[in-house]
Amino acid sequence: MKYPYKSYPFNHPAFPKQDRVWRPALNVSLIYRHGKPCKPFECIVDSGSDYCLFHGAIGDAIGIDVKSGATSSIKGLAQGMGAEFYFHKVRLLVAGEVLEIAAGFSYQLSVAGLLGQTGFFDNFIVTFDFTPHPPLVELQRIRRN
Amino acid sequence: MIAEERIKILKEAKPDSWIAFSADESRVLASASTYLEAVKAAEAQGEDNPVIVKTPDDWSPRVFSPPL
Repeated sequence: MKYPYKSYPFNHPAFPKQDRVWRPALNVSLIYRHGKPCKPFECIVDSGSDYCLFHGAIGDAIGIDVKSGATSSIKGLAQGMGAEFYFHKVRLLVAGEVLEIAAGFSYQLSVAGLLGQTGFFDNFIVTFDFTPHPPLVELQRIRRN
Repeated sequence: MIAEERIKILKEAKPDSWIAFSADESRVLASASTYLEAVKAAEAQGEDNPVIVKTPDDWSPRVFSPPL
């Protein structure tokens, strides 16, 4: 399956002629236990993220007691304090597939979600293709026996 | 929705807000301060399958590995 990148505003004095960036983004949904899937929300495909991470508000919406999960401070590019994440088992609905994953939830996330290495990249062959405009992200499900 | 329209909508949206688009992402239906409010506002307009997008606190360049 191929999905076009999505456009986002961009503002930086070092790049005065650039007013947008293109990012690989997918609409996904989550299910917790026997609940209904939440309404789809947009996530960035982020190979730099070790895990799939979602905003705490999504966890609340599907009935998770977010702060009851195993907690971990996840650090990023810069040194210093990390953001606090709480991990829970959920089912991720993406690209027509249903994946059982452990995902981190945080109220400090600036976007709705990130699709990272464990839970997403270990389930798909992901190809980023900048040949067309807009660029495409292509997903092929990895089948393991 | 063409890229220009989408960028304009996102740029004009409140920082740290949740925007509900129609299922085909051609129209913006609502903007709210929480995910659930955005979902409810979209449903009130007859959209059962909205796509929800969260805006960050600003549109400066980002590395998405947390902290964000």
